Amino acid sequence: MNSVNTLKIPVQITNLQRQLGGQTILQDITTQVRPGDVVGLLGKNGSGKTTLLETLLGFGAPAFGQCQLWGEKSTELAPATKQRIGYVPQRDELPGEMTPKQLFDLYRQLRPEWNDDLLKQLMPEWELSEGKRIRRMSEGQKQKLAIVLAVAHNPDLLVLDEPVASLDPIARRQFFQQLMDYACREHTAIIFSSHIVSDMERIVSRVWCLQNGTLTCDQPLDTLYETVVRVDYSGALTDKAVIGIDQILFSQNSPHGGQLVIKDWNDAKREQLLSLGASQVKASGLSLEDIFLYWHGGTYAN
Amino acid sequence: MFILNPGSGVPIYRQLVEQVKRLVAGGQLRPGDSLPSVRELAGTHAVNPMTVSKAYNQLELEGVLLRRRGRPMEVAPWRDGEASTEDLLVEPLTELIRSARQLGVKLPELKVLIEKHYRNIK
Repeated sequence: MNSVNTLKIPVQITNLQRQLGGQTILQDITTQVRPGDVVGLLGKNGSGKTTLLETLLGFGAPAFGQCQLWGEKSTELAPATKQRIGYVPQRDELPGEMTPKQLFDLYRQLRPEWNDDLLKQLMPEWELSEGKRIRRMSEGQKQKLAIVLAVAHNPDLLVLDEPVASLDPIARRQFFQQLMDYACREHTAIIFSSHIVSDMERIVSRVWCLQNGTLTCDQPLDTLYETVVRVDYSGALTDKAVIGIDQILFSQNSPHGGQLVIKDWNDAKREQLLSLGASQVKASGLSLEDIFLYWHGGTYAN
Repeated sequence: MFILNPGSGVPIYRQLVEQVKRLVAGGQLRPGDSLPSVRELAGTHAVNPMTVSKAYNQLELEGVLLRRRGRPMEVAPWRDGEASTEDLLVEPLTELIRSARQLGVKLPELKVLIEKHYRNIK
């Protein structure tokens, strides 16, 4: 497996199963993240997102299968490989008694690569003061600081677990602008989880959706837009006919027409609907938020 | 420069492609004008740089933009019979005509409606 190719792949997950306290949290996960990818991780609370991010970073051992970062098992990473990772955990783990300046001085010694220019740019831009004790900072300020610390050593893989939960809309936009500027660097890969799906929509190239510990969706965002659609039609379709159509996430019928949300829309599906008696078949795109809601069982979406 | 609408269900690269075409067709972007770099666009609009590249690549393939080594993307010279304003209106027109048919509105009625609203909409 350790060919030249795997060395270039930031994240390779193979048949991953993870158990915690006798419970299976993740199962049957096989996927990869390539350089240039910006992966958005979606999932309900408790679906295993944080566990997946922690496992791929090697914070815990899989019960079965494995995670590799650039071809190295993530539980046995060489120190130099660890330097290529930037991580923002969901809950900040910053030492409350220290100031950012003290932290920077400490990190500068621990990190062979350290981008002081980026700090000089980001600290004022994000309205952070170097001399303020961390415990006196707001949640949003701490989150910004955690992000600054995660990117200051120019990592090739950035893993962000709910990085924007405490940020106001302006700070969020600033963060994403910075993140996309960062994504322009060659070889960089980014994985982040968020419940703010509309933000994700701007910036991700790929969507992972975790449901009960399994990746039920692992697709380019543009493919999702084109294949998960709402279909409006005129004419009557019997309930039986509708059940016969594959991959329906939602349906609402009347004798005059109805609406379907279909997971794998294509021309063959259009033909099938027409042959079942529908007319005026019109497909339209959904927002990622709606796709996510329908994916979890249509009743929440409208 | 662009107005992107992430929640619309239309892929962002397609929104970019359409908007560039509209700006070119409407003369706001003229042959030889240069476009912002991938990095600039990704940064200002906070969108994925690959999305911008994808849009630029498609526009290059379609002959709307030109790529020259070491230079920003620029608007290609006009060629006859290409990307006319009619092409750009086909999609919204199709939508309108379908809706009209669903409502049982016939062509003469539709024409009257269009005339009425064409005057009213500023």
